[in-house]
Amino acid sequence: MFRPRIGLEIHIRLLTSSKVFCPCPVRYGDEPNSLVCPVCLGYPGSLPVLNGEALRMACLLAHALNCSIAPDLRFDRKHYFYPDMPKNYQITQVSAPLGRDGSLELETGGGKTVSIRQLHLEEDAGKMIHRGNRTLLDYNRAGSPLVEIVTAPELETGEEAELLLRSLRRIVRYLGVCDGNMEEGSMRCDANVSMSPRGVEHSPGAEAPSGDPPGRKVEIKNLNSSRFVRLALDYETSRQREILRRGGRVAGETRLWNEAAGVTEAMRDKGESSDYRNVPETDLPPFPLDPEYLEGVKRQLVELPSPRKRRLVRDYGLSGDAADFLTEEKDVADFFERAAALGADPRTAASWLRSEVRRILNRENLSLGESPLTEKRLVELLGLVREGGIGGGIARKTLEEVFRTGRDPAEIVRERGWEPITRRDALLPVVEKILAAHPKAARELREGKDRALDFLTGMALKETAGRADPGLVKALISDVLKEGRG
Amino acid sequence: MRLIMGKPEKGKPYHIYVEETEKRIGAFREFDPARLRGESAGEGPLSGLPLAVQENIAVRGFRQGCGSRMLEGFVSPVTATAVRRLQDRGAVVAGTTKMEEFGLLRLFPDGVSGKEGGPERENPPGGACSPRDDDHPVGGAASAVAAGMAAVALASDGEGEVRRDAAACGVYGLRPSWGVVSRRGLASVSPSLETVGVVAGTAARVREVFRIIRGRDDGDPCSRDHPADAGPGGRRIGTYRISIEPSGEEAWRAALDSLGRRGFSVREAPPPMMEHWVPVYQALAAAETASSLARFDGVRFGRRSGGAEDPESLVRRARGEGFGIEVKLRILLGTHILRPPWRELFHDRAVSQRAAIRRAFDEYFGEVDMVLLPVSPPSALGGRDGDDHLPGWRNKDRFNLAAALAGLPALSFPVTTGGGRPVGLQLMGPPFGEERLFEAAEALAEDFPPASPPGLGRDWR
Ligand SMILES: [Zn+2]
Repeated sequence: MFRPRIGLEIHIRLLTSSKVFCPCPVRYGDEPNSLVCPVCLGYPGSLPVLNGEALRMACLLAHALNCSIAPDLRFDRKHYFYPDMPKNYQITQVSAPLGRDGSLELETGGGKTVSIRQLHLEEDAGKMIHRGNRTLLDYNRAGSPLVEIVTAPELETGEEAELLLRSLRRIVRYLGVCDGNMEEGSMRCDANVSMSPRGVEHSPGAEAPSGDPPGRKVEIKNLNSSRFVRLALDYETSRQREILRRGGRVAGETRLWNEAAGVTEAMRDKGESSDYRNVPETDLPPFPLDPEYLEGVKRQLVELPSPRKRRLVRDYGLSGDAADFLTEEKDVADFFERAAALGADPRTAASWLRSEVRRILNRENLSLGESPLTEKRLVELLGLVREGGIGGGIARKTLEEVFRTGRDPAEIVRERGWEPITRRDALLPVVEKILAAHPKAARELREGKDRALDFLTGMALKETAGRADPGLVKALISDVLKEGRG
Repeated sequence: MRLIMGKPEKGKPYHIYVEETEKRIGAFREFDPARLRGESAGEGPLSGLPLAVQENIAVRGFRQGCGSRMLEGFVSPVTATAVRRLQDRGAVVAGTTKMEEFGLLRLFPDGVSGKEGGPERENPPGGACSPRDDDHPVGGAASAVAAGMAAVALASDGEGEVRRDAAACGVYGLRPSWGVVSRRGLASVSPSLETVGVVAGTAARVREVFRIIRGRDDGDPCSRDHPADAGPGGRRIGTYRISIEPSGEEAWRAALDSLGRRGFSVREAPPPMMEHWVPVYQALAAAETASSLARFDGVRFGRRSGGAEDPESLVRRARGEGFGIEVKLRILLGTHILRPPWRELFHDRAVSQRAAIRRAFDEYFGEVDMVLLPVSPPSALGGRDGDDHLPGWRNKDRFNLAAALAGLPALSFPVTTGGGRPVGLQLMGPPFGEERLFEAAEALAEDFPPASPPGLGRDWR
């Protein structure tokens, strides 16, 4: 029996305003080759100058993933000839990566923790576009900052790999270092898959055992969504398991995920050497990462999604699902905690954020931060429900109006005349009218059928466009019937 | 503000002199008298000073050809920091000067390489200033200075080009400590070994220019300020008994005598690890060259071959046609020694040997303040005397290599005896020890006054 060993290599595109070794802006969708300069085009005589913002973000991420950080930042040149690579070498970190020996906790899946082998800073390549028999090159992306994260082969299923990517996505978004969008290439993932015989255990992070393993390592590329990662890895592990079950051997190769066919396919062998002839990048002197600098970066670390989720459950008595929803985006969790601090009932606030607020945000394609709903307005709205006695329907309408007009809930309710009707003399005529209009229900109620009370109350609410205080309506109905007036 | 135009020398305006002289010498790759006439010099201590820049150092609007077909027609969009600093003090770029392809001295004589060298082969500079013949042309920068077509020149020194060419032409050439002069704008072939150097007719001029171009530049993260305390000082000079060509022997003795008379103590003290200089340099330079020249592929700039069917053949053809034989040989060597099994054997060993050489020089410069060595002239190479193999040729070149390996400053200066041709010697010091080299060279100039270039106006001598 065999156990899959899956490792991921993930590229994170950092959200810096400029490229990693030159001042060109990092932007997507501009006119091709409009965001370039002699440095990112590799002109003779150009020299790289490290972008401090890229370094800060990489260090922040290394801290968040519990890596031990190198005493100084060193770069190497990794050579391969490819037209989208301006210098035909990539400035990256091979000999001394920025971070080593980190870990990442999967948010669900039994709290599994996966080792991070290394984390390093490097530059992106440009883009090659094939148009008919012509090849076009766009270097706008060349020199954009990337962080590459390499995990140990400790994942066993496609689902775990997908979970890891989702957990990492949350973290990079929390830190504000990457937008985490896999479809747009902000997070890119390659995987390697091999099989080890069950019972043969390795210490986490250790290399495959020496000797000839039954399953050679297969690299899988072209995984541009977390769903494809799951599908491709599930396909690949069962493919390899089947080969081994039939006594065959798995060839070490690179395979591509074919989205349409739902299979992985061996990549055409380009006969390329995997020997990158790395040399130290002597154009960049080693940059000392002194403890003071690293402490400064560490202070920028925010509470990460996993521990925050646990805290929300513990401190606010939320369900796991509710906490999971709130911590998906840092904005939402922050909003929730500010609302709770302003006196909102945590569970009610969480449920509003999960249902009504989310529904409107999705419909309007807005983020919470961009919307007119402030935590103060939500607290006010919940207060109107709890203390002011407005009903659920009015509350939902009020929320819509907050989004539409950007005004405070109390003001909207007052102006629209949506305050609850709580005076007996105002409600009495309504109740009498309802009882007169529905003699059958009135009779049933007198005969002790309580369902009729709900029906009549509903009719009274409808009559007042939801403004009637339901409790008072019920009391009035009983009073009127008792007095024999209905 | 002075205009370069109309600087009379024997009744001739400067640009007329240069145009006439250039026809005989051919030092410049690009020289535009109209540009020179039209350009007025800025204010500053170098106002109007005609500056020549080797064609691998960027000057905005000039071609940066690096002596290679690969970069035919490539016009630089930027100006190197060192050039800019001189322009800011009033210097005017007179033109760019020729060089061996990427500054790599051809180690193979014609018998080996055939006649397919770089463009240099077709039009060798040197002429008037070349020490022997045209077989081994010197770079145009030193020629231009020696012939009085430029008061000062900036050129690169990786394996000794500045010193070798200055020595060949009887002028002064400085290779500064590594990192002291910004390399921004220098098309580096071996970044850890190469510097921007200065060629001029006197030590004083070299010093003046060096003091302007040195120091930290935000565009070159390896650049640093020259420490303030690295002034002159130290008069202990080490030497090494070597047999040099008979014509050089006399100059060598005369220089030792002169130094002794002028208060320097000279003693026998061989510099460390000499037998390692050549192999270590050869390995590291080849590896860095293979890496740095990878960017030349005909895709984004420079030579573009027509009719390629796919990107790969485009790159193959551009590099096949664009690079000369010496460059190709070094790329092959560098590529191979970065691959197993040779990597460990040659490259990795060279890296640790280099560290050992640096440490040994640190110690050595505790014993002496400078070391006096010959400059290996291009005529020493060529394999005409039985040493017909690559290490043999390179070995004759070894005195120029130590400074590159250990990042040391070295100044070559001319010594003329008995009316013969000047012989080039060099002084090498510890990192940031430039000032003591200038001091010693100035003392020597009392006994061996440098020849005055014929062309320049008195102001620029
Ligand atoms: Zn750029």
